[in-house]
Amino acid sequence: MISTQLENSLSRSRIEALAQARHEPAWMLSRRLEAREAAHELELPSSRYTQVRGLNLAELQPVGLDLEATSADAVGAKRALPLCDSQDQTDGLLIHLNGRLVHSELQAELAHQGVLFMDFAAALAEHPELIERYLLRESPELSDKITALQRALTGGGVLLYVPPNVEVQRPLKAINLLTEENIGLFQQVLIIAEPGSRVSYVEELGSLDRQLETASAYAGDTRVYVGQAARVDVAGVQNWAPQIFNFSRRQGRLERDGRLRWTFGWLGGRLTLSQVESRFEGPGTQVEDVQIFFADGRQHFDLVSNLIHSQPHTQGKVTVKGVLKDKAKAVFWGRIRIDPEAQQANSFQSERSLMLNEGPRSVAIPSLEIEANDVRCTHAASSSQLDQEQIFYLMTRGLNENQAKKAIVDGFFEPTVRQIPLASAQEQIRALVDRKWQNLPAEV
Amino acid sequence: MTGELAIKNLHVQIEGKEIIRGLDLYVKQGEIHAIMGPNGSGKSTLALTLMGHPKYQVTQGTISYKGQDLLALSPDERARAGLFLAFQYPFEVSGVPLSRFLLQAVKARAPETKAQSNGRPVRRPLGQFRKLLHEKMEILKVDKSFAGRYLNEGFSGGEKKRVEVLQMLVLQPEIAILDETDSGLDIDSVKIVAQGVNSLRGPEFGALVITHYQRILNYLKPDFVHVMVKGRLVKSGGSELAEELEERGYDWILQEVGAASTESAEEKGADPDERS
Ligand SMILES: Nc1ncnc2c1ncn2[C@@H]1O[C@H](COP(=O)(O)OP(=O)(O)O)[C@@H](O)[C@H]1O
Ligand SMILES: [Mg+2]
Repeated sequence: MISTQLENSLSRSRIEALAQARHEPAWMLSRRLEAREAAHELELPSSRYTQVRGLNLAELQPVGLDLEATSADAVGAKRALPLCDSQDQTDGLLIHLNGRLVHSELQAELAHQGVLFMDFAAALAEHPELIERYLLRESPELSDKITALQRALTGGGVLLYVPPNVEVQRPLKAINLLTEENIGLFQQVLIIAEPGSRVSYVEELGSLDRQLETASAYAGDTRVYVGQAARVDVAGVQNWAPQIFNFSRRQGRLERDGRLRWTFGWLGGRLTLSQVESRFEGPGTQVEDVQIFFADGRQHFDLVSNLIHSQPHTQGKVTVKGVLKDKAKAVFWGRIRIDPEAQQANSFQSERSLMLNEGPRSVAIPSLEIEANDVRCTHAASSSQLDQEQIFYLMTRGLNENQAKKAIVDGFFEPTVRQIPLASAQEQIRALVDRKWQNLPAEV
Repeated sequence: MTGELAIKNLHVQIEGKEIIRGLDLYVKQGEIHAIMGPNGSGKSTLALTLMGHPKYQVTQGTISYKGQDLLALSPDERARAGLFLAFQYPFEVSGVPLSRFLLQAVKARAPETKAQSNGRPVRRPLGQFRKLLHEKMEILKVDKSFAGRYLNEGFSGGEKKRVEVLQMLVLQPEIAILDETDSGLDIDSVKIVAQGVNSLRGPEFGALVITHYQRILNYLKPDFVHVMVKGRLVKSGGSELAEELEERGYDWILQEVGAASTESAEEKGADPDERS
């Protein structure tokens, strides 16, 4: 049952008041209220291998709902900005600190061409029709309490709009920092790439090295529309503090000849549930989904990738690679659906995990639903242990045991990391793997 | 002072089975020793034991280098003490580029190279490393593209062996063990590899060369040749012993030492790399 903190925020009058204060369109309010009803009915998300435990929902304080600027924002920006060192490689940057927008920039020329890259709350007030047109288009169903809360209590987020034929050269980056305990960060990301456009969006989720005593939760919904022949890259690196619960749901929809590449690096947090759904809604569409994870302690990642082919001549490729140690757990659900009319589909998925000790568990559950007869569709899953002979071989060259293991882990990730389309995301994932490795106790 | 690798009364077991059964051998820096002997006599076991492979259990005897007890050292400490093994069957390590790995190994072996003897810091160590690597690649006629390739992955048998020697030239050990590095190499490659080994020769470099063939020894001109049978060195001599073995096989030695000759005759010339 929902009560106290969260219950208060979920009251009808509160939601009405906040929608008004935020100058939200009427449809947004009814969307919130509908989700609010559902939030009371629905259960926490779970799967055969995954339960949400240790998250005190009732005590969560939703953040980012109040748009009044405060002096704390400036302080937050001062703190956050120097830590976000890659501005020189981006064409735009948004920073949210505990749900509040503290920094925003976009290259002037892009703004002039009509590109929008802004906080979602501000966008709702400024561009309600645009958002309505896409956000209300066949919304994913509310499947559990968290997705309902995310919709009812959406605070900030990102709107990225790229007009037809505009090519954004360098990535647009959104940094999302969660550094407080007992907060609920409910965000909406909407990416619209009009026909013939090109854009890369990079999302970083992190905690500025804060260790939290009690849990916080992040729930994000991302919707990506890839117009005809548009090309979109969406990368996300999750490096939350260890007490954070991460709920991510992403959906990409592609029109004729559109291309979408997802890249995710999962490193932080306590429990991560992630769903990525790619819908091939036009012929000739292509999707690549690369996910890398590194789980230790009692971390748990439950990752879903859905490829839904409903048009002919489509191509999907999912690559998941993860390293696990201690008592970590990873579950990968790889689903491929090919509708009867989606002939000549190519769809591949592979999941490989490497165990650093005996304790972790890794499960891969493929499910293929194929109704067309002229398609190619494969899946592969494997799980392996560190090879003692390889470790010995590397040690005879002078690497100590820890260095040898690290070299093998790097080698396990490297071919996949090299495929990541954004150089900055490659570097970041390598750096985070290094850091995570160094935090490990020497005994592996 | 010249370093000496001293192996005394060595007994080694694997999975409870005794493979090395009382072996004595002394290899000084500056000397080249060859070990020959039928398949399965324990040559690779000796090599891997010298490097500290965890599966090989020393049940008796001692191994020391420069007076230091090697058995107390981990494989990487032995490497840093100056030992190197060119593996008979090098392992593939996917995703680890050869040059990046070798740079790490160079750093791991010589952390003190930050300053030279005259106190000046070494400038651009990375640039120096690249130069060294390219130099050695040229000696061994290894294509430059191998620097970026993943360690041994997809290398042919011969390429793996050459890259083992390349690693040796870059790491410049004091005592190198070459375990059938010449097996499976074509005639020109044997020569190139031998030239590589010879480029290290000097008062600071000793080697233990395990081989089945006279050819490589013609280039290396070993100071000593030993014959290993069933876990013991049963005969030692100068390079003339290798010639004699090439001509006569092992049977006469086996008879001399009273060992059964059944497995040796047909296996002597067989290329171990052809085994599955
Ligand atoms: N890992 C192992 N497990 C079991 N037996 C082994 C293992 N390694 C070597 N042996 C056995 O030890 C003996 C010596 O092998 P090896 O040292 O490889 O001989 P060589 O190199 O002289 O051909 C052989 O009988 C071989 O089967
Ligand atoms: Mg052998």
